[in-house]
Amino acid sequence: MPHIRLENIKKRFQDKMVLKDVNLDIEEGKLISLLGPSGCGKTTTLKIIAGLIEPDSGDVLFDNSSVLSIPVEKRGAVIVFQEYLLFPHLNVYENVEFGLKMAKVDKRKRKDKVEEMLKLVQMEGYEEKYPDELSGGQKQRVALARALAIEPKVLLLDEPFSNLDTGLRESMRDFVVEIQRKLNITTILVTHDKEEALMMSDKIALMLDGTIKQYGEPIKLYENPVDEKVADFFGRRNYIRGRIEKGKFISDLIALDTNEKKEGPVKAMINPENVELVSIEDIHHISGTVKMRKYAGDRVYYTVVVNGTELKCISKPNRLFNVGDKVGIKIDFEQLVFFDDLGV
Amino acid sequence: MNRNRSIIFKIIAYSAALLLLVPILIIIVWSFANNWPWPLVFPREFGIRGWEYFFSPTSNSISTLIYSILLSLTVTFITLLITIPASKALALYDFKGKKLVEVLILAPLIVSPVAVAMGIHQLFIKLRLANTFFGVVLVHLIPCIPYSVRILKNVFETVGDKFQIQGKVLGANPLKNFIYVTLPIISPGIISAASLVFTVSFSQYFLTFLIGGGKIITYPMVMFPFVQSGDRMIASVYSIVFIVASLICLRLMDRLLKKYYKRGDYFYI
Repeated sequence: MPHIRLENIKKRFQDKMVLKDVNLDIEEGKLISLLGPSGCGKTTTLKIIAGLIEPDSGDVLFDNSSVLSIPVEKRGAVIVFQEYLLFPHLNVYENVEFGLKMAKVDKRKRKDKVEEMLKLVQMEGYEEKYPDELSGGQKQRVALARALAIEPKVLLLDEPFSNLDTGLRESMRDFVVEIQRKLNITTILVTHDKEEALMMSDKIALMLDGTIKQYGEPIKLYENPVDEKVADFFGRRNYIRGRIEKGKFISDLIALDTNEKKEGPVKAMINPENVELVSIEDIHHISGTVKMRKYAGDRVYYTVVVNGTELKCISKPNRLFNVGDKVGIKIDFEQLVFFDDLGV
Repeated sequence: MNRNRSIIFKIIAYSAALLLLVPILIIIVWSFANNWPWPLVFPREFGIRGWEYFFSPTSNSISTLIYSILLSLTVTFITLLITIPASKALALYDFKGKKLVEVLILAPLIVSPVAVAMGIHQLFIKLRLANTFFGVVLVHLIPCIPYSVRILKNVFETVGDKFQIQGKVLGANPLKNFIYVTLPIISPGIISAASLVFTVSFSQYFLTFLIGGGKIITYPMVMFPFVQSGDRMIASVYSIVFIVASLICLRLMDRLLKKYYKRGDYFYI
């Protein structure tokens, strides 16, 4: 399994700069996600790695040697597409066998490999079935087996779960992660689903507007985003405007000591799950009024107003407050992240 | 409401079937009618003179039929050979002058080749293609290609190139990709195109007549004089054989392709 590196990749389609300057370093055997909204260039990046698109400039390296001159069919980077794309004229066995046949592996070895792969994806007994007789999840498994059969250097998954129902999606995610760990194959997952990326990957590369905004472990991206755009991508956040002077953060809402090195106007980010609503009798806390409540079963979304500032809050449903209620608000200030206040 | 609709639907369906079947029934009856003057509903006298003539060695009907089928199969084969790549290019790639190429290819559908046949004839005489089998095949390509391109282009547009891309990332080189992925996936389209092209070629009269110069005799050419001279009995026999022969050929082509690609009927067409 190689170590994959993208260096200064740029790509322009007509007038649009799709990839501005993409750098990415993927350690061998890891599962990383390219996460971003549609149109951010993540699929283009994937296709560049596979060799389906040539970058305008920059380099793709597998184990420190450039693969740009190696054609798609010899590069060993297999994409599993969103629509699975099982060949409709071939049955399950022949589909999985396809890549091996193209590589001129002899028949007996092909048979062993296909059987091994079908066992891996738990699709034994389906050899004779045709793709139109399979369910979405089964197609996905076969597509995965077909890709893995040729022992690719890197496995590229392009939005692989977006065609599946919610329940199935979750079990397929676990299944893919399990297989990835078992085979220890370098895997790149393209997704627009933040939860998927957070739960599955060793590292996430968040792409916005053709660049990688932040690359790191899921916890890092969620808790320490580099800027507001990254922060907002992972969910709704609260921002409190204020300023830092001599190690003190001062705002309308609160003033507290901080070891943040920034000075001047800042925005402090507080995650809604770190805002807790408590009874108004609890006088140690800031007080506010509930403006909106959205009940989602396992959690409740509130919007509360404190001195004219709106705060979003996610809490457990064990104690419900009503719209208009006066409430006490407990904020976990340990988790504050400061961004420069650019005045927008 | 629903019932009314189904009644209307039935009426339309049955009348359509009737409109198609009645002429066929009539020629079947005609092929056995020695004497069927107007205004009798049934022929006055039945006989098998028509069929006897058709099967008699002197009429050469069967050898002409076989020759004609072979000619049309050759045309079909060459048309497919040209139009599969052409349609793929027109459907999936962008290149300069694409619109122009498309218009030129489809032109014979708008301007009948008969209109330019004389020019072609002159040219073929110079090229020594007139009065030859190959010349006739070539001239048949003109009306056949646009039909085939229209069908196959549609197929390529529907299927797209996603399966080829998948084939490519799985290690198939362009040739293998074409044989193992593209061809089987478009095979339903190939069957439709082949059927249509065969029929168009098999029914050509004027172009064959002109370019073949009487040396290349196809089935419609031996049939036509009977239709024109009013020997309806023999003309009917020829018509029936025409229909049956085309149906058999189409069926065989369909079987052959489907057998080769096992499952040809999965989608899109």
